[in-house]
Amino acid sequence: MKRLNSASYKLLLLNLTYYRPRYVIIKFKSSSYFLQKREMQHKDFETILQEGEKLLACFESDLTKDGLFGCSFLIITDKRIVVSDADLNIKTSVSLSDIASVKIEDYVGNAELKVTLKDGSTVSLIRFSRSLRQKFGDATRLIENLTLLRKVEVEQFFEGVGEEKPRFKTGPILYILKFVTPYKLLLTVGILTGVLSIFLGLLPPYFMKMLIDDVILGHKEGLLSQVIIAIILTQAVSSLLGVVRSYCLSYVSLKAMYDMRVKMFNHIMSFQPSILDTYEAGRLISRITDDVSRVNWFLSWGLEQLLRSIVSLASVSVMIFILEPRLSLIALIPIPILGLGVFLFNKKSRWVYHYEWKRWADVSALLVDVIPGFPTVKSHVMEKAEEEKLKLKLSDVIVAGLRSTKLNLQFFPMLGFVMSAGTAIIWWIGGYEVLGGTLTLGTLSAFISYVSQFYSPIWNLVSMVEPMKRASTAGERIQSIMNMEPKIKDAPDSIDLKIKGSIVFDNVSFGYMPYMYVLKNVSFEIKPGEKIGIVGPTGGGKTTIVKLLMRFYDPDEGRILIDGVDIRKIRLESLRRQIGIVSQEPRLFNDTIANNIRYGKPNASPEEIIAAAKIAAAHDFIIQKPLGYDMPCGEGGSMLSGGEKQRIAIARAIISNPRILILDEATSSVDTITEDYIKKALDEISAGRTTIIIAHRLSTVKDADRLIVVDNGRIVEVGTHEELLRKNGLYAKLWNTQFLEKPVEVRA
Amino acid sequence: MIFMTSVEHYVKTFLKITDPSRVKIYYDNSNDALTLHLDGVVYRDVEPIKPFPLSNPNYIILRSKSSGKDICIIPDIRILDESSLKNLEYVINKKYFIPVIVKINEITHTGEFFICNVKTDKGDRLFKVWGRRNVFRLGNTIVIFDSDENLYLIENYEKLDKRSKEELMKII
Repeated sequence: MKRLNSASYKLLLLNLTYYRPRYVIIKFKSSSYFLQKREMQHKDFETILQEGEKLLACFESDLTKDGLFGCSFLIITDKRIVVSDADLNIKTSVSLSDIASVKIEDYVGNAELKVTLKDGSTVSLIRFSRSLRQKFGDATRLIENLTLLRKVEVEQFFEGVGEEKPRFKTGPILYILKFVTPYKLLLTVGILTGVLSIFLGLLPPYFMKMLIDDVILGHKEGLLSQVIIAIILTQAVSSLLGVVRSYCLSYVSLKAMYDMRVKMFNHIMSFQPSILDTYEAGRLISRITDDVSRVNWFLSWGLEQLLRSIVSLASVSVMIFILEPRLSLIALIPIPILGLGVFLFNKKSRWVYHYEWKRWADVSALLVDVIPGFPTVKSHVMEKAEEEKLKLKLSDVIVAGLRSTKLNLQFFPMLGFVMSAGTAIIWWIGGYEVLGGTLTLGTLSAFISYVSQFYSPIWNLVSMVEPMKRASTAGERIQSIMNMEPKIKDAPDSIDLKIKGSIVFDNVSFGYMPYMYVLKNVSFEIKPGEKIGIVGPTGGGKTTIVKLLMRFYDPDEGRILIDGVDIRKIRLESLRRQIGIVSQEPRLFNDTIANNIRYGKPNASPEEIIAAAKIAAAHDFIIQKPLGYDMPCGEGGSMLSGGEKQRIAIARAIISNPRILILDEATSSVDTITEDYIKKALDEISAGRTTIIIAHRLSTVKDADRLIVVDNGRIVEVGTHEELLRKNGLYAKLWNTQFLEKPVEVRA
Repeated sequence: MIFMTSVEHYVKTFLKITDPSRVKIYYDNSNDALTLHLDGVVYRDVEPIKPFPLSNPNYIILRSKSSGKDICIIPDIRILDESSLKNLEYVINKKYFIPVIVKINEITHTGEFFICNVKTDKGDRLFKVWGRRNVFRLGNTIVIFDSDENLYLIENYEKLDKRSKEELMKII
């Protein structure tokens, strides 16, 4: 038996806090960790400790023993388990040394932690709502380990548990900017050319002033052609700078988007398939495509516009203040109003955009769901129903779109008007001054021209608020995906294991929904090279066993060992590369048949591809295709029949020479002749290889070395075909249902 | 060590990968078929199959037409003697008629399909394609299935002239 060390506790309790941010963690001198509600202090709990007793952990429940909402505590020390009310009055106390077992009883809407004592009596410790079910599951495991009831390393329970991180380290805009840093040189060129063109833009109004005051009113004809040439040259250089700027910024944004999409894709690929329980495929696709596109504007133009506008505003401000300080003060009047408008818009717009894009993601999710299922829709004549669903989602998009349009209309036309009014006031006051002779016409013209250049960046900044908000919201959505961590990942000390093929399920319990168990206390052992059939009624948990073995999920309780090593200690790639699986509905990719087979072994030779196809009884139909193994399969294998897809999937599974072969209803969609052919081939290929065959059609598995019968998440029978028939249990019942004809009653 | 049948084992035991120097192929004019001489055994009515006509066009399986079973695999037919290669290519070229598009004159779109006016290594051709679904890109190689299930090949997209590439953009 392995005793837990302090490091194990540390890890355990650290993980406990991870679930519940409302708890804080306090480190004690003893290096154990303590969970507590914010207002509770360590010393409060010390009052219940006996002499020499050390506090290890405390779990707060949301139910009282009487079943009312309220606070009670499960306090775990190194000697006993104490249950107290909110005022720390001890209600129950059980010595750790008296505990024989610990369990949670699940009820509707709540659950209860109970311990069975060595004298056989049971003590109800604490009740809690199902919201805290997982937390008290952790408490149960802690108690189990403290009482040395199970030989389990605590870390294994908690490795890889992860959730969307509640806070981002950086804001979305800064996060997006990280993607342009590899291209900072080009970005700098793009921005510098933009800034340079601003300074060039300051020249034409000055040339205009010269034209009016010196050339036209001052009759200096000799200056005319020089000023005109200067204007033309300025414009030409400005256009050239514009070309350089556009190219550089477009290049940077396209490369950054490429990097962002690749990074997102890789990140999503690092998750286990259960990510699709949280995010539908369409929603993930929407984040990679739509949200990244929305960020594009910011990267290609937004950033540069922002800097250009600021530089432009600063430089033009200097010019107008030099030219005419009094009028410059008037030009500043609209700025506070614009600032207020932008502030209010920012406040309101964030959730409006979030809402709009979530509606778009809903549309994507629906389309991704329905279009591949097109034959099902047609066969059930559900076109109208699906159309209605789509209309509903699109209507939501319209509503959301109109909401953001209304928000824009509430602010931007008003802000535009304020700026125009500012220009009109300058004309008004300036006009009086020209008429009164205190200002020259050239100066007023140049000033008005500069004022339009002054308002232009302000207006740009105001107009940028909306797309910036869009980009920032999209950045947040990207960030939220990128900040998620895979729940299943390699442990730091995981190893590459050359699998021989023994498999042990040790008291495994698992549920897709928290604690709604699909498998309950499942234990079995498979020897290397054994061929095992797993049978049982639909929904019994057969496929779940395979998913756990592939480590698509981790068990809630218990452990799975391969060759004596917990699979959580085996590197995922090492584990999955050595397990070949053919599932009920194999997924082929829109690539050639050869490449689909090669998916199981990227460096496979043509001979290996042909051999794998021959073993899977696929070779003959493949070479009948016009392009043979180079024939494209179509999206999802749409250009192949169900049986053809299945056989290619089998070839894909066996080409990698897997140590463990899993056939999950692999021959369910082939006819019996083909099934027989595949079966013979598989008999050969599975010789000496651990093979798990899941099948409804019992003829497929009757020759297996042993059959495991699973029903309602539990193993109900184990034995050979003959043994199980003799036993006359569930297997015999299933067999008789499939193969024994009922006697026909003949009436005279 | 547990004995385990593997794909590698299957390749060694059951696939007859044959050294081209051991092979003689003759063309039987009377029934328009090939005759294979392999290690002193004569196989008549032999059919050549290209399992990887695009990715590995010189890889051939020789199969008995009567039994429908593969006789042997020749990984690279270019190593065959000149006469065998000539006989083999004669039948292969009939069996696999895949014109190679060397230039695209024009692609127009009319409602449901595209009309392609192309120049191939077998001559000029006008054909219809039902949309992008029938155009497959395998790296730089592009395969086009026309509306009558004829095949056309662009061996290397990058080597097409600029105008052909622009036309092809309409369909890929």
